[in-house]
Amino acid sequence: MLSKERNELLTRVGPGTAMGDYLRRYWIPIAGASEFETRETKAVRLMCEDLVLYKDQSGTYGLVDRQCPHRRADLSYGFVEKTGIRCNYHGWLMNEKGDCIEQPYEDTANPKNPLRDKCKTKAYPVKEMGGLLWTYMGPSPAPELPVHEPFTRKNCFREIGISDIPCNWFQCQENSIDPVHFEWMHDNWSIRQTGKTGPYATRHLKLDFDEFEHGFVYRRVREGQPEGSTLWTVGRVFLWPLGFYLGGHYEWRVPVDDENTLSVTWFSYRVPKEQEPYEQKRVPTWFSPIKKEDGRWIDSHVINQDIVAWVGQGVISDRTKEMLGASDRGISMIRNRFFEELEAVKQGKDPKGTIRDPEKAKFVDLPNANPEFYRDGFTREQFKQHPLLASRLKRFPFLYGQPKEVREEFCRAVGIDADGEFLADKAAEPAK
Amino acid sequence: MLSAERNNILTQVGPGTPMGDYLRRYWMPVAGAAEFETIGTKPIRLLGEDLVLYKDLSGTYGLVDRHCPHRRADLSYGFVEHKGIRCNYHGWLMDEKGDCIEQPYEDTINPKNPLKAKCKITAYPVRELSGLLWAYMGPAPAPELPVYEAFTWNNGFVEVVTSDVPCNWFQCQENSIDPVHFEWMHDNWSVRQRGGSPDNYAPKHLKVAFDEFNEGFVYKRVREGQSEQEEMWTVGRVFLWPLGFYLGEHFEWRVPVDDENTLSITWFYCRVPKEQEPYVQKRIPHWHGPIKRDDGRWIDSHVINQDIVAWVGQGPVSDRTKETLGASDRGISMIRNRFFEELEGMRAGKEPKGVIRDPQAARLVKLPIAERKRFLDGLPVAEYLKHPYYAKRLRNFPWNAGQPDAVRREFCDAMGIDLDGTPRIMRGNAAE
Repeated sequence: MLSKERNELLTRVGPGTAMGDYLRRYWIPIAGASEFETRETKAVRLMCEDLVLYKDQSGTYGLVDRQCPHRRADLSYGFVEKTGIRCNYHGWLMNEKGDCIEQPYEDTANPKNPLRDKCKTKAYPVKEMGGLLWTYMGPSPAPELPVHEPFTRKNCFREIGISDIPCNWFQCQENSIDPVHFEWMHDNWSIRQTGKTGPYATRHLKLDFDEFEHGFVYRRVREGQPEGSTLWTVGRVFLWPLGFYLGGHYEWRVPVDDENTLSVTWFSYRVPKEQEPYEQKRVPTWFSPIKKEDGRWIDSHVINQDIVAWVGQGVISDRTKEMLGASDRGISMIRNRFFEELEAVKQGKDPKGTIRDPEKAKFVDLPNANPEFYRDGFTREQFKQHPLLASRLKRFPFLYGQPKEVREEFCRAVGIDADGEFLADKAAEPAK
Repeated sequence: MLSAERNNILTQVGPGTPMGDYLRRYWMPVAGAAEFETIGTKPIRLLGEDLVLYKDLSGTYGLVDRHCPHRRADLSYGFVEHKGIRCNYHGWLMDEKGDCIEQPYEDTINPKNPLKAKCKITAYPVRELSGLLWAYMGPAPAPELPVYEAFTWNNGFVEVVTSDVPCNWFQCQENSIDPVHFEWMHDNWSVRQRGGSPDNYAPKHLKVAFDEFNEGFVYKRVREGQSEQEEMWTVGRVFLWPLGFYLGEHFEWRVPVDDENTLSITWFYCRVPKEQEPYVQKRIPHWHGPIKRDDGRWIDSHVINQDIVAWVGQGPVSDRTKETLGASDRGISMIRNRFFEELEGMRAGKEPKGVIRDPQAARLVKLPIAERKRFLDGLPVAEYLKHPYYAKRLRNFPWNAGQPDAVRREFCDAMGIDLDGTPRIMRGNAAE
């Protein structure tokens, strides 16, 4: 349980709020680069700021104030030039640094136009990595953008899924340090969705939580879990401050404002050894809907089930009314860590996990409970014997709405047909 | 005309408001029992409170807080067990009394888990009576649930219809003591809808009167061509205190969802023709009546839909500072004044009007019924065809738009008629 004041401290993200200022000290993923294959501007709202993300004709990304500095027209309806984004109202042109580089009529009427130099618009740096676009909205100098191990992997099929979530970011992120919900929300609820009333999945017997430089890990023991399982020895990663990392995929809960969150997810899947070398030209990005036509939430996929929990907690979860138990120790730990961090940053300390050394940022390893799959690769035979990997061949289990063309690209990369059968196996069958 | 303050008193129903607390002292119908043939849980908002109504696997109904006491997930996405409703987030299990009876992980690591006994959730009693589910949201002890005489009638086909009405409850309920609107809203507007002219208008109201009795008020009327000996004057129709309307073969309740929404619940009885007796109905069907057309206008083809056009047309909360009441509205002033007196009485510790504490008295509650004989004795089918109401009733359901085909078929089987309303025995005769 939290007081109303402390709940507000965790959940308010606008400019000038303690948490808002804190989160602005990190690079955050905000879009898929491949979105800009079919568009050049995109209206985005981040931590209560209305902005426009664009890619100009020379391929430079910019993230600037949504409103033109001239008469406040909406720059998401502007158009991009060789350099910068031009307002469609009177043609003022802004570059990615926030400089106004053309004011057509003013420039014509007065070639020495003094207005232009005085004109600045808000602008944040944008970088591309792993098919994602990242921004930094904090004070200069920006820290390094850390290159995590998964972004350096070869021979992987990758994709990005994005959803708009109508609730506060923090309740989404609490779900990143919540091992027990897997048993109920994913295992048992899914059993009930099939119409069966049991038997239920194996119970959680033991949990632990540890802090490390880039976040926390949670570890678990479930009934029947083999001794020495990496789910206990390694665990899963609450990636500080707004990510979740499970070896094969990331989820980030990016605050849009106090009542909305952008869910950005990134998946990698190493193709069978027989398909190597595989090089993916670009990382596809797709938008995943969360609501059914009847107004209820989609509940058929893992992350959609999580979203049912998040939005179900209310627009901003009222933590004055909650009741935390032993299953929630990790949640208390991260809340307390955030409170400490907010204090520390006030004292001038660099936020947790921030990297200033460019060399160090070039490769950041994270705890991974299943490293061998990505490190060594599996043969088709090994895929078939691995329950999770094999089911992934049949269907994308994480998010609802994977587009057909992404599925097809996946099938080609992995060497399977639409039903998830290896093409090589079918070719090997004797002719009938 | 009312002051804004007095209008607020009548219309505000949240916890802690005078009217909200007052209405909580009565049992209210909140759903059709048949709804739970296909669902286990239903989100429901009543008197400004977000709740979930459920039926567990042993058939016990519960009405509890919409949010789990643990981390506030939405229990309408939970699933029911042999006893109680289980949250789909971490599996906490609540029963119909609001006790938390399982906290799976907490129970696993500590069989004496002290958290569970401390954990309570808002819970209201639910009862099933005549195909309806009833809830009591007031202070204990709950009064008796009155069994109205109509609920004890045999040899009838009963159906329950619900509609979501986007306006305050009180303007709907004012319609229950409003005899003159029948002449215009139902008779004459229907004449005009069919292309008729003012020459075809229905008989005028010549006289109206209103009397109070224990369970509410009656309104009485004399229309052109009617005498004071007829039951519309000697008996009348019932404004059923506090939020019902009773017309012999049907009830309507206007259940407050919040200050700007009302759940319309209606219960219809139709006695089967003599030739069909004895008739025993296995289950009372429920259906949801739509109120809006595809083009966004209100449906106006059925009696209660016409009423709904009036209710929502008065605005989300009717602004009674701008109304002009006349002699036709004397009943409305009477019930408003009675409510104001009752709210005062409640503050002074008085029992609300009509509340029954004697179990014996609650077992059969008789209300004024015009044409009572026809419900008690029944009629041969040949008489139905000559009867101004039954002749129409056999052809189609005149009250709410949207009766499903399946319910129509059940009704026809009960009445012994074909879908077009022709009695099957007559069809047989014609064939001979």
